[in-house]
Amino acid sequence: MIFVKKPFLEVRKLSANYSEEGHQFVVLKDISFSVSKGEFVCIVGPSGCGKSTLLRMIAGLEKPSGGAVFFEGQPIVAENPRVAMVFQNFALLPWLTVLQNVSLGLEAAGMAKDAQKKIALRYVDIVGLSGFENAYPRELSGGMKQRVGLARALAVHPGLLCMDEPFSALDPLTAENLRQEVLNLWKDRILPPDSVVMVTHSIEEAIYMADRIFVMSKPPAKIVATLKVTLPRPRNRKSEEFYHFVDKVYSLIT
Amino acid sequence: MERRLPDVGIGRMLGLMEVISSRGGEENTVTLSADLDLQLDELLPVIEGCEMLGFAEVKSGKVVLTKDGKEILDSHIDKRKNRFRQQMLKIQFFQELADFIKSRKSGKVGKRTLNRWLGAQPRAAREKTIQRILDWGRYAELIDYKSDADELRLL
Repeated sequence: MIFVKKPFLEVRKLSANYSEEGHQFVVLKDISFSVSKGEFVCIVGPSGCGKSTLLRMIAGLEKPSGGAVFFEGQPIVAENPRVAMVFQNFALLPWLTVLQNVSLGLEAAGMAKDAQKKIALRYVDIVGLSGFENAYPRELSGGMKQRVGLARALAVHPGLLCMDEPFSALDPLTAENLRQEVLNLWKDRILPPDSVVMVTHSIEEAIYMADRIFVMSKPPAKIVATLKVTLPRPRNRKSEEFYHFVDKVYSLIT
Repeated sequence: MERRLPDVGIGRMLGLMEVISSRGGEENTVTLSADLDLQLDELLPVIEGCEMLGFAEVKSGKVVLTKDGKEILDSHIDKRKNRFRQQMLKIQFFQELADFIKSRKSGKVGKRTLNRWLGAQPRAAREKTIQRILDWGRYAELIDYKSDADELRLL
């Protein structure tokens, strides 16, 4: 018997079109790749290339026009509790406290209140938000808001964590701090997801964080290159080797 | 008397320290401003905050991480918060704030009382400082604030 191991995440011939005023627009065309367990992958591409659309399809939040996404061997479905999402603009509910926002996914999963609170508190602590449990989103800075987004995503113990430009709404220093903390969590394997797929428009950010990078073209977007980032961690953005990777990606895009 | 804190949050201070650390522990202020695309007036409160907490020093135009600054970067979240708390309690501002809250019978203060304690200064400036008290205080788990009841107390 031949046993073929199915990829953890497989994107197969994915396409996305939409029509507007009788015109047909192709956003994504024939996108295929797979992600293994334990991988941190970044999707980079110019703005408007449909990378967020691609990520939403991977997470099951949008239906593709063609092709399919398989997660753990099964076609992806919306509301899959094994997949969690971190949004660029945090997507917090303003009338809920930090703790209640973090509990949202657990509540949706039908977990008992006591258990919800226990797990939510643990993730509030892990992302450095203890002390802010009873604060409302309006009382928080952007960086703290994104920590809530991260805690909410991690609390459901996802196998796959999808992050859509998670640092781009933050000022550069806050973004730097949060990138670092996400990498610390990832390194220590405290983070529950087996794998991460992150979308970014920043090539430096992708090389700084990812094991592998998929480079997308302008629409109709295709994957124009796949690059394994072999630099040891923690990576030094001022090193020659780092620049070498940056140059390589730029040359692939242009 | 006028009491104030630099208008900067925890994340930005840690971010600046991480950038400096990745450049060998010190960097020119003007280079930081250019590389990070931050105007000097945006960068200065961040430096001021790091200095106040004893995590960095400014020496002839360079921002240099202190031993405490390097240590906090190498620490995990819980230890970071502890270090923050320790450093905050070395600052006169927080010592006086703690004494003030303790001196209240209820052990709590609201924002109005806090405004009076901050002294004569423009309202916008006072509001910023209050925001930072909550920001730093909650992060360091030194202060708890319930916005529904407008109650601030020491932990």
